[in-house]
Amino acid sequence: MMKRDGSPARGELESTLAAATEVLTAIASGRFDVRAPRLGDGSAADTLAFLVNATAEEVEHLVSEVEREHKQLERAHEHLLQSAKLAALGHLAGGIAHELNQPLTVIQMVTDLLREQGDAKIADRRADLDLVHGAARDMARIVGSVRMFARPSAFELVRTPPLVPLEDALLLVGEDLKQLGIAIMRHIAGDLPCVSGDPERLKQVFVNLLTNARDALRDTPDATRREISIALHGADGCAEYAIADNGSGVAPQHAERIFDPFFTTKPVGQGTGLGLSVALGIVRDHGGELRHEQVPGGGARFVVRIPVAGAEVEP
Amino acid sequence: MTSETRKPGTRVLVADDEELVRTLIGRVAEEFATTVVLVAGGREALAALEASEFDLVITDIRMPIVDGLAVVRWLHSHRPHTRIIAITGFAASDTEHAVAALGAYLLDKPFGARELRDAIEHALSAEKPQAR
Repeated sequence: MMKRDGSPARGELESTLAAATEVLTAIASGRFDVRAPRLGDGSAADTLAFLVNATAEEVEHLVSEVEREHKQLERAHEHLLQSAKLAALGHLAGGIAHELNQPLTVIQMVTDLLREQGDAKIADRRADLDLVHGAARDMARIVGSVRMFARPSAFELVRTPPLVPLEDALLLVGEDLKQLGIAIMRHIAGDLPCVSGDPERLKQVFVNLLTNARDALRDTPDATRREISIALHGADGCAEYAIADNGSGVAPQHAERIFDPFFTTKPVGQGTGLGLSVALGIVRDHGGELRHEQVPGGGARFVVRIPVAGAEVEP
Repeated sequence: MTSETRKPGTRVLVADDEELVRTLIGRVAEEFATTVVLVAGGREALAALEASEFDLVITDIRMPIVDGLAVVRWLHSHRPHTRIIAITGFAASDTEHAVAALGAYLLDKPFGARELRDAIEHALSAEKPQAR
């Protein structure tokens, strides 16, 4: 160490040492924002303070970098887990659907044939037969949605005007929404470029999201204005759709699980718990993104991003 | 319904490895045909087809050993006029596309007697779709 101006400034050196110790102690206990005061005179004490501060800054930077990467890794891991879960489930679901189709065909065929018979005894039990037949139809519907989930990967990405699948979905569920007195607010940007998509599957995504919004609004008091807002605009190489309702929203304790297959909060018999996971699978097949956001003041918003045709898909 | 829709001499072959399903399909097919032959697999179906002519073949796609696709392919090259109803589980899979391309009508499982009847009526009355 160099001495300046003859006698060492012992008091300054000691207080800088104390400050440096404080900085290093803070780092050791996980705090990186403590700094040693600088004299700014280029003395040995000042150099020490500079070096300690520089070290603290570097450590702070490295730690935040590591934290950021850790978070990224965690997200990638979750993403991977979710994909693996979806794939395994798809496989299982396909097998079960196939096996269930046999007995379901038998039940539907037999009840159909019995109902057609003119036998008086059978006519007496017509209501029971109708129940069995209806139950078989419900099961077929569930199997159908499971199959959608397990559908093999034969899907085709074509240039699709982004509004088309959304309009098609509205065509399917629009009547239902009208019956429940649900108002649809549209915020659609004009002149959007085509997305790279499978129109049928994208339609399925919006049918599922709109159906969920409808079910969320079904239970709101009649006096409330029921509203679904549909937005579409361009955002960094993607078409960004947002479908929001003013229902009661997703309970915080459910938010993490809503994309899990078979997770549902709907009454028994009303939901298969596959709508959102099917939608997520389809959106991911498009290299897109599907996320849920809470709407301030209640309600849920789902944001779908689908890459524009020809645009680079970020890894 | 039975006597009106049944054309004399109409022959139907039903191939399905599930006995119950096969029997029930046969019962509905009898409304339309004077002869209904039931077989339990693709191999038996090919043997029956080689031995005699059928107007309509109703075959499951997923069958062990010789599947429905093989039956449809054989029909396509040896009996181009025979109508085909292919029973499918996944209406969008590659096999189903192939079967449809070979001129078969697709009937999605699960189905009831009414859907089956509609399919048979359609297959027997309409022009056979051109193989692509």
